[in-house]
Amino acid sequence: MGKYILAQTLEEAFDALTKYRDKARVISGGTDLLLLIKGGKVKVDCIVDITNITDLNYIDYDNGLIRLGALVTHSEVEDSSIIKEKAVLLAEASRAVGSPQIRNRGTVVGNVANASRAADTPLALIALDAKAKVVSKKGQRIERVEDLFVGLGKTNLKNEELITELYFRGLKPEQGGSFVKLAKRRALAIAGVNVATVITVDRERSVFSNARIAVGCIVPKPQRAKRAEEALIGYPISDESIRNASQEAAGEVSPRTGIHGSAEYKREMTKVLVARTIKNALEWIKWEG
Amino acid sequence: MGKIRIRFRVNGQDAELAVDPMATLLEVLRRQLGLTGTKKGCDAGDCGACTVIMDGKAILSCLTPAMQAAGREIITVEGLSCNGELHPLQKAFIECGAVQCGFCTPGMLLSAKALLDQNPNPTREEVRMAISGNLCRCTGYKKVIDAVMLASERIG
Repeated sequence: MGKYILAQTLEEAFDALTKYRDKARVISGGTDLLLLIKGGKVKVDCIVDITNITDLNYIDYDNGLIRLGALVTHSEVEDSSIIKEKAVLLAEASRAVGSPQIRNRGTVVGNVANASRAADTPLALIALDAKAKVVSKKGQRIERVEDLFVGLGKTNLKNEELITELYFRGLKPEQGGSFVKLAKRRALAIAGVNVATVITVDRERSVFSNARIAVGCIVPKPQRAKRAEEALIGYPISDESIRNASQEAAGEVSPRTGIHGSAEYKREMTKVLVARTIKNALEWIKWEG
Repeated sequence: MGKIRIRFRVNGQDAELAVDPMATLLEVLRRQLGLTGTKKGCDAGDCGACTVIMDGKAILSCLTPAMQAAGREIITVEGLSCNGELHPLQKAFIECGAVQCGFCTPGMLLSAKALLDQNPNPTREEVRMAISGNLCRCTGYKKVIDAVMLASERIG
């Protein structure tokens, strides 16, 4: 029987993490971790519960910057008016997670730390160029969310570190974003392919001035489709540009045949989903002012 | 490491008990408190049969450590009726024939209650979303939605 520490402060959490090191795991929503423990895939001596550290429960918006504390759940994100207005793709990705019951408990930070290659919210965060505040007893480091993922199910977080906050800039009038997921049903379904995109347009010249496209499932870790981005940046806003970019995306992923479909199908759907996110994102551009 | 004493409220009553720190809320409700209305279905967060309400929100008791219930307010299906009278949702489920084998019903009822407590006049689509995490083995979703709509008319 293991030890369960209900940390009341970050210091208590760090003390436990430092003491138990690789035998400790942090829990908040627990919707992934409990499954791993029940299945015997993760052996722990100590569970460090951070849900009582209420200082970590906030969604702030200040000066264009949106900050999410570690305890913010998917439900809170999907219902947040500021996220729906300034980072709609993150609201869409949060809504795509699990079921209402899972979204009421699972946190966005937990979704990042768990590093599933099929995870939904990390893609939106990567497309938004979100950064993570990674804290330990010794100090803190700021890491781009896309750099946290180092391989299949792996982040570069150390045993004694916690992500306490995610932050990113809200979308500007000349920016738009979208998240789309291919799954067998609209709830309780793991994605076969998922894509999040943020585009920036030069409204006077009617060209794509920037693009960040993140793909999941069909790659070892949530990551950007950089060739697709390059196929958009500097090109006119047209069906042809969108077609070229989505074609590039399909060429740079490495889908495998599995329960969510054949490799060929997933590659074809990558093309469809990338195009769809770009078109959806364009709908958010405010062409005047 | 032995058991840890925790306190929480279940169906309006205080409960204080010693729990295995690794136990789930589902195990504690069923085995220690005898509240077997909460069903153990998949035990993996997929089916929703173990849904209970914690501090006003529908959650899966199979994926919630019992330790996280400390200090919280839990409602299980046993807490829906009042003074021997069934909850309007329960009456509507019976009237609409929304119960077939009955195994998913407690979870369906609690997902529906969490919805109606927040939104007393939902659309059918909102009801569908609210019960999207509850699987019915008998494929009886339409009647469940009918029942929640009927209950909402009576409550709202």
